[in-house]
Amino acid sequence: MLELMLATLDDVLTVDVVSHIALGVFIGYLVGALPGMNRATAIAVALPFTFSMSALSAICFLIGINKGGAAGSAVSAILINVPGEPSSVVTTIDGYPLTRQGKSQKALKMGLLASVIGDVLATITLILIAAPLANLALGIGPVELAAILLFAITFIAAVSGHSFFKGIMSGFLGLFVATPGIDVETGMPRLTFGFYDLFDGVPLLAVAIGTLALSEMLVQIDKGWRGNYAHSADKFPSGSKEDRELSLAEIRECMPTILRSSLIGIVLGLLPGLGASISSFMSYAVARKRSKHPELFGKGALEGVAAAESADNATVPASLIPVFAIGVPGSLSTALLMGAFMLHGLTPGPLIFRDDANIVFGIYNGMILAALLLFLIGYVGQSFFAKIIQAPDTMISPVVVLLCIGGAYVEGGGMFNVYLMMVFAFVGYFMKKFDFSFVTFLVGFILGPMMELTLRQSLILTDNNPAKLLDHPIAIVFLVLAVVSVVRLSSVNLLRLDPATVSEPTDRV
Amino acid sequence: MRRADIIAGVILLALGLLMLFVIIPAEADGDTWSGVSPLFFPTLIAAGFCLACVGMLVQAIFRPGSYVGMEAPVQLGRIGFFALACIIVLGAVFAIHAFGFLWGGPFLVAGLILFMGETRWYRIVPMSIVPVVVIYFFVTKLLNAPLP
Repeated sequence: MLELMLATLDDVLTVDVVSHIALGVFIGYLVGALPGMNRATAIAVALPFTFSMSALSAICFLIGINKGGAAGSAVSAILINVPGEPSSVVTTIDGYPLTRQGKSQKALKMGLLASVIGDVLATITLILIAAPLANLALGIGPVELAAILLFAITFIAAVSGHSFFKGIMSGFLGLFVATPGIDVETGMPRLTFGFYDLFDGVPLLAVAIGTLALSEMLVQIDKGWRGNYAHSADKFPSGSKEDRELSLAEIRECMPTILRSSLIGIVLGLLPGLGASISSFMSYAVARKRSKHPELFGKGALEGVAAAESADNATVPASLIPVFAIGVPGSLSTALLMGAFMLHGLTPGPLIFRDDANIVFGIYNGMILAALLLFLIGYVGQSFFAKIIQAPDTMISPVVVLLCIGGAYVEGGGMFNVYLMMVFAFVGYFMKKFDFSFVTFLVGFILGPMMELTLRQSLILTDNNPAKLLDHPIAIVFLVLAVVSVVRLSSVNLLRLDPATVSEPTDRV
Repeated sequence: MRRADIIAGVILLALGLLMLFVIIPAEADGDTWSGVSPLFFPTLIAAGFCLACVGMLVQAIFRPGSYVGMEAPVQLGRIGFFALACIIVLGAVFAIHAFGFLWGGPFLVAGLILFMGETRWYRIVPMSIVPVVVIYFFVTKLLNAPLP
């Protein structure tokens, strides 16, 4: 493993790859800092512009956006009390009080340091366990894989919204959108409605940009009903030098919290559907409980900022472990990254370590480099990002809409893709308004072809005889888990009346 | 939210049934040589979708307690506002289709900036021209990708 890491270091340390990673981190940080924008939107919009890049540059660029977005979301949370992403809600609890005390720069530095440490630790975990897990996954056949995919979708549906039924409907909708195209067995067109452009299936970018980016922009524009686009444009009080700088004693005091929260982020990041929001909330609660000064939490505790940010950033590399090991994404960002892998001719899953090991280890090196660049860009650009968050929505949203149109066109398919993206933007807008889960929809859409293929193979292998499933104990375990998820969550939704008994949802980005 | 869920549930169930009994049989060939028919997967998914719709409807109709504290997702006035924004975007997309990105793009950006309430020309003019030109040359010259 170490040999491969060193061997691929040369591929990464080129002007082309390093500049793309730096650009990705910068864009991600910028987008994360802007309220109303999120990293999934940024990845969706940026994806078509990676076509001219090499696979390694493209994936590292998109991972850079993902990492930068996770860290950058702390900027607006700390400075103007507006979280850039749902996972940064926790950062506002202590970050904004620190700003009011004139310690905004100290809070930003602690947030950045915690983000980078969480990110590096999770990347090391990814490097250490993804390949062994993939080796285990190689023993899995189509029957087991079909059961795992079914479980993943039901599990994500279960945790990603207020209503399980809406979650599962989103999953089915995503799977259904993946069905048009040429049938793999008969070669006949299916559900193409006479459009030749649909023979290769519904284009990923039209779906991703439409449902994630353009619909989000429509929601942002919609927010201005009765004219209210402005952010809070308070001036940030600036304290003494001591209030601005982070001391070694403060870093030492927060280090156990950062390490503990990173671990929580890694564990929760591994599980599909459970996201950065849950891990930052949980880390914050644990940090408060274990702190020597719990009374400071909520009033401006550096530990609170450190806990939320390290957990948030640790989920980013950790959520890539299931993608590399079994080819199953558990979040919006990883679903999009998985789509990027496929667009660049790579097949995520256990075979990637055999077929494209050089690229995988190149990506690992790129991820470590991205973490270092994240620190550099975040530290040097602190005052720039603090200024940029005050840019009005009226200037940002129209340009992003323009980028969406350009991006959908670039994929190929011409204006057909643009019109298709518009259709999915409307679908996405109403999904957002009616609280349908995007994660389940997109994961269903991306996993759809694999799910259909493995299901058809399973039916052939078992001669349509359910009794033959007994030869596949792993499949039975996952099928039982999927059935238990469905029965349990349906009964929670239908039988229990008290909404407080239903767990808080997460729409993981 | 509850009433909206009932209406959405009925509409989605109707769409699901339409898919299941009309569109899928008409748009997918049922013949197969040996394995599973191409109809199988879409039919399975549409049936599951309809079942989930029924679940959502049952929850919305018989379990009002689970909607306590939830606001209605859309308001009538807001729909008009949203529709107007969509018309601007759609109109600009037609303009891009007809006249190209470089000529249609500024209409899109300027239209949306105006729609969002910005009236200062010194902000509108550069914001609707500079990004369009930058994106156009970035995509066509640097990425060598086509734009309309």
